[in-house]
Amino acid sequence: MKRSFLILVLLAAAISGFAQTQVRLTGHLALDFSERPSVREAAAAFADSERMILWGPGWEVIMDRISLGGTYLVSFFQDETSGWWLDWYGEPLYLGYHLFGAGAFIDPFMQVGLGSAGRVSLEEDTALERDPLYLSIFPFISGGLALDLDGFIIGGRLSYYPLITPPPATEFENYPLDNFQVAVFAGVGLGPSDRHRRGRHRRW
Amino acid sequence: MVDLITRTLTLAVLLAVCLVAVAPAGAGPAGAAESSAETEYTLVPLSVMLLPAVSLPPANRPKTLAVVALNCGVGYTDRLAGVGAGIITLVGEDGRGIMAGVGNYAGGSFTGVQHGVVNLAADGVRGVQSGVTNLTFRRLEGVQAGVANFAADFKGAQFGVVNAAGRGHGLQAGLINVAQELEGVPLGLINIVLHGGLTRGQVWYDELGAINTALLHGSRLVYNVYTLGVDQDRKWWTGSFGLGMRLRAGRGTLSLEATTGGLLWAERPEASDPALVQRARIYARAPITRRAALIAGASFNYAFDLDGGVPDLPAILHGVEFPFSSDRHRFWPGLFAGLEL
Repeated sequence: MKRSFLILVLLAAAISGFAQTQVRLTGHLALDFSERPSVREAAAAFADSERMILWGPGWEVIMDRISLGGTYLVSFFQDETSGWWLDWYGEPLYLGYHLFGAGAFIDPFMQVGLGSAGRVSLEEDTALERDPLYLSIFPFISGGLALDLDGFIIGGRLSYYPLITPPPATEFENYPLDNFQVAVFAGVGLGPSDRHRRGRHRRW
Repeated sequence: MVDLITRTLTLAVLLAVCLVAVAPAGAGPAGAAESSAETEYTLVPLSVMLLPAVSLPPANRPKTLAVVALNCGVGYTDRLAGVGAGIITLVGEDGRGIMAGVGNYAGGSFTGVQHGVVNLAADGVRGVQSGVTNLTFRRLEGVQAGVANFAADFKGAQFGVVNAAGRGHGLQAGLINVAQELEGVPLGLINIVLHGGLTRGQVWYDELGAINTALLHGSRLVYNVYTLGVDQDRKWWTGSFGLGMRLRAGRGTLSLEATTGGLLWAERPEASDPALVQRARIYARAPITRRAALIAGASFNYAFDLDGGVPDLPAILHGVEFPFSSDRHRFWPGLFAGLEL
């Protein structure tokens, strides 16, 4: 176990060895809106226990101002008639731009990429020929703001999906993804930060 | 830093152990999975593995059905109905839900999404595989997105640098697309459809007095076009690449093509930059024998001279240009006729 983590740490350190490169590992909470949400609506929705909130990890490698990253979110829910389902929302790889570069204390950013979202039944129903599955693919554009608190990252972002469609030539039902999504995230940033550049000692 | 991560990991493992200890069998999605699973499978609501032999709870049970299977090395479960995540996640039989990590393997079929560097579902996928390399030796119904994608049979889409499939129904989009049979659309620099696709050669004479050759290659519906042409006096050459679409019309076909390319002056080596030529063509194809057909049609042409209005370009045009044509931006109609083999 130590060896695996040592490899991961060395890998992260090697990537972070470049002057303006930061590796972020974050946890996300996200929910959808059919219309553009306001801050008040978003806050109320996060507090609403009835709303489905997707959660999961994300990663991002920021090289100067350009970044590559991904997020993988899931949510379990139970339907009274058909049992348990798993929803997923995945952005396997996106391209990002950070206005002030890696490690900036205030970090406004934009991201574009392709993703998929789906819902799969966790029940095994032998009466059905195929497992029920909802599936959509979509392009997305996101904008947000992160704060780099000496290696501790917090932030939020708003995503927009101009097109949400099942894969071509398939008969999957479209996953009911709304056109906007709000997410909050927190995690660690391995690499330079403003405080680091100013010469202060960092714990990492 | 290592100490901190080690402490964090230890805490996570302890938390996982606690969750396993307190999770009652039959509670939550795990219980749902258990109630519908065959009795020979032991339900594991949450497992945390370093290696298959070093796991929590111990992996000494005959068959396991995992709901949340996490690993920080190599994790294994016989079946998965939920989330499998870690570095290398192995599912011996069928799985459903999400697998995420460096390497994801399902020995049976998989329904849901696999995110990883290498994703493999031996017995087919319904859903999504996204990663560097995505493989299934049976049917993919959904999407593969990565650098290299392979499916023995797919219905849906493949997005990647290299896409390969046996039979395909849907979209292949990438640099190189290969399919044994494809009913759908290949979009790429090189599209190879081995059986039932379109591979034709063309030669035609156009309004500029050029003899052109073309290779058409792709599916019956959508294909790539590669052209090469030279004028009668060999003063200039053209080459282009584009996409075409072919529709049935009676005994023949009707084709729509759009190409982009360049025009190089053979006698003006100092003009290093070619004139850029964009063409849209519409033409009919009428078979004259089993293998040969006549083609004839019209084109809309646009040339932009990078050298800033080289006088030779208007000189080779036939004299009829659209009213919006200018010195540097030339627009003209064209006609052409030839043979397709």
